[in-house]
Amino acid sequence: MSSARDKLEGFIYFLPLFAAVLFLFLYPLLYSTYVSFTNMNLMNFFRHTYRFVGAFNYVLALRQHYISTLLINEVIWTLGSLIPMMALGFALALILNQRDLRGKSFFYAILILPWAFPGFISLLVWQGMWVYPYGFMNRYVLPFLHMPTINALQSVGDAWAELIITNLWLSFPYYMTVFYSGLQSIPAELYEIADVDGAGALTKFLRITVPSLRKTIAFVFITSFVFTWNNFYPIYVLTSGGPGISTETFIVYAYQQAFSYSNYGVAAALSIISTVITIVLAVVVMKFTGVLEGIT
Amino acid sequence: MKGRSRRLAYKALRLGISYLVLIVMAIWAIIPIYYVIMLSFSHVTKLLAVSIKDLVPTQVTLQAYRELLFGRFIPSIKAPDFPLWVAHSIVLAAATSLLSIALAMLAGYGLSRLDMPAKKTLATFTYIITFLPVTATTVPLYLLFAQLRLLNYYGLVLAYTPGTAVFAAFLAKLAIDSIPPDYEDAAMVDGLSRFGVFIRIVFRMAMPIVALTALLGFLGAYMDYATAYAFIGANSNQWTAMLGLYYLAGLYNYASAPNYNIFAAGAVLMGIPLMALFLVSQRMMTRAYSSLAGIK
Repeated sequence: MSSARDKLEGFIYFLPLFAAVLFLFLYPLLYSTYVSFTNMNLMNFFRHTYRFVGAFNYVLALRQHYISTLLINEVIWTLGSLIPMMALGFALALILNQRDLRGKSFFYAILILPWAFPGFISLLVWQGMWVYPYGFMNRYVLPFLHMPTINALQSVGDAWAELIITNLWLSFPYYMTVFYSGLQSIPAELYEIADVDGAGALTKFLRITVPSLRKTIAFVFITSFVFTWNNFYPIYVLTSGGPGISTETFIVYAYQQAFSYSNYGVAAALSIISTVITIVLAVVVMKFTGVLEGIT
Repeated sequence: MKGRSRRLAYKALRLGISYLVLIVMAIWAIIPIYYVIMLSFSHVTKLLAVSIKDLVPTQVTLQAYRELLFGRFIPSIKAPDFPLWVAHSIVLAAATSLLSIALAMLAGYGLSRLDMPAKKTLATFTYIITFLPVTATTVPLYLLFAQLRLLNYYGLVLAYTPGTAVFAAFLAKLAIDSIPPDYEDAAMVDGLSRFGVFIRIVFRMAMPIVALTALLGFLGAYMDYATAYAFIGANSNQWTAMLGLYYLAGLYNYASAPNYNIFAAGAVLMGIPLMALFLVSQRMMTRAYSSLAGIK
């Protein structure tokens, strides 16, 4: 059935997408690698007078502790966002999953609004609400709750708090939705049998709920880890990586180096490092989820 | 009797805490959206002038919407700015949609129905690419497109397309897998070419995936800020809606930005329809996944 002609024909159908990926992803990445070994910036780029500087950009990044700072920031940002988001999402899913709770669909419809409203626009709104000292959060909400105000321009801790609280608002509905549908797929008989055996709520939770959702939790954690690691807009819009570079991540810092300071060489080096990390994470995801079985 | 009343007390406590958490979370979920809607109907001129009175609908005015739709903000633009930017976004997003559909359906058909050399390797490679955030290739694409004179709408459509197209190609592959090939075989026996079969039969039967691809491509391009800013940010005549909103939020230059209620009106006018589109795409995505799971 699969003659040489058929094989060729199959390839022709796949070719346009493959060409797009080669030209718009792979070639830029290779070019980026090349640029990362040059001193390219705005002045010498258009005059073609940039030159090869070896690993200078990488050495500089190591020596000035960019890389270690950015790595630590990435971990704070990724785990600091992910753990509260998953915990809150799971708690809300458990609450919504109670059989005797009324008004489920009403609450669910409201609770998914932050996910449904376009994230970039929400971030612009939140940016205005966090402005110190007269933004809505600092002027009304935090004082009303007897909580200290947040000044992300000066305090590193405040900047992280602002980022993580906003990211929590943006993302908890996603986790709630995924865990809620996971909970609903657990057969009710399991709980009924446990009831007959006289099991308490905690036992049922630890013996039935958690083991049934183990796969879902792991899948969500790994895929969201990659997503949050590379999540660009919250940091770019809210703190721009400030104060100083204390909330920068690779992707935000590379973007700013390129488009705010026109240091293309440095930007390329940073995006190469970030790409290598992402590819490693992607391989972990694929190994773990076995998603390739489905697509090939 | 004692055990029963204890059980009732426990149930009341459990439901009480549940409702309390749900109500607090619902309020938190709504506040930023409520805040921006109220500001869009208010007279607020500056962010620092926002007060709690503006959030109570006593003095509803459509002034901000009128200025958003007919106002001239940047002197060099010869038409009302915001509608022009929205028109740019719609054209870009529609073009991205169409190109994504073409690439994704062709590749999905190739992967599903036809044999090709090194199929698994090609698919794996293409899949890994989807993990790279678009922002990782923004810097090299900018440098390459600057040399090719593609820092314009053509370049933006090219930059947006592969992200959606690769993801959609795998969805299309799974969807086409689930269509029985009998119709196509019959049509080919009747003399239709393979490409004719693809256009007349497969395309039509995979319509839900085509619609989903269209929606994802549209939303992806419409919601982009980072690439658009890099490519066309310097020229406000070419801006898209998201660049315009960023400007209206006062993030380019707080002092020269128009009144803040105009930003709020823009956020609402863009946010609500995009939210509706998002909810539709979510529903389609869930249906696509569950129908695929059902057939396996």
